[in-house]
Amino acid sequence: MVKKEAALEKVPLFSRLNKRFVKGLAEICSERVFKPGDALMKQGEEGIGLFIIVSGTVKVVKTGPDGATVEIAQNGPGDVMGELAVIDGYARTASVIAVEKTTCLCLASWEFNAFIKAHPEVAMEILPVVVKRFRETNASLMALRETKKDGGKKS
Amino acid sequence: MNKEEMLSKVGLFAGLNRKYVKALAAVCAEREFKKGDYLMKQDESGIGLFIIIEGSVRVVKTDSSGNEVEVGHNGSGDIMGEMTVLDGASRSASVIAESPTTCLILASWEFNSFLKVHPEVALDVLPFVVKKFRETNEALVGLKNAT
Repeated sequence: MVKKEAALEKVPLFSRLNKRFVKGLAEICSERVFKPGDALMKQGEEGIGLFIIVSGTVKVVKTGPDGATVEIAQNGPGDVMGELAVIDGYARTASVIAVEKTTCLCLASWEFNAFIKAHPEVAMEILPVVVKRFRETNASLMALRETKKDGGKKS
Repeated sequence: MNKEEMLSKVGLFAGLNRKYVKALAAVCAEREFKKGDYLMKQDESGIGLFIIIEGSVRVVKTDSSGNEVEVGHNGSGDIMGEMTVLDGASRSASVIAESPTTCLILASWEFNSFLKVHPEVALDVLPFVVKKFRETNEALVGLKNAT
């Protein structure tokens, strides 16, 4: 349980959470083992929750509209995937496939949702983290749009 | 349109139970601005959410070289500073009234004390913020890939 708590504490979304809530979340997490070739998540399918890799390696692959599949990343121990899927269960934008035997800590979105319903203060602590992330992304987007516009003027 | 109806049009509050919208309407204030008045000033911390009831404003941004660029116009029904109620972040642009303008204002400190009393409201607001983040992130990734 202590190991689960330590892994959860490293998830940015939970960085502001009181220890007792992290403990509560650790209790509803489950450990799952995937064989090489197993899909942890499938592109287009609803996200089932958050995955923290305990050991092993996975590849993140994306299938384009033309049907071609491209590997976009590899993830290993400590990496977190589907962080925001615990909140909205949004359809996955890529597939994640185990490259070798991989053990993950999984926090299912339905478990998480039941947990925050019982402890709405958790939602209050998570809210600023997501808002900050939105602000950062929005600022990068605005800056990039600006650069593109300037680039257009010069050419 | 009454305050409650105006607030229910705000995306951030779309998931809220009617009783909460009603309570938020009670802590909103109506303010009038004369032509030329600043509703918000770039780089100053945001005081909250503005809904234009009547009038028109222009959104002006001063860039790093000191040039003022007009980035938009807003009018009746438009919402500004929506996310500011959540974080009071400093404004990325100034907003100036170009005609006599009346706004409904929900101050971020009012919203924060409301949230403290009703933490369950955070549950209903969270998915909207996540959605906004996803949309922005998608646009960013798309734009990066286009380079």
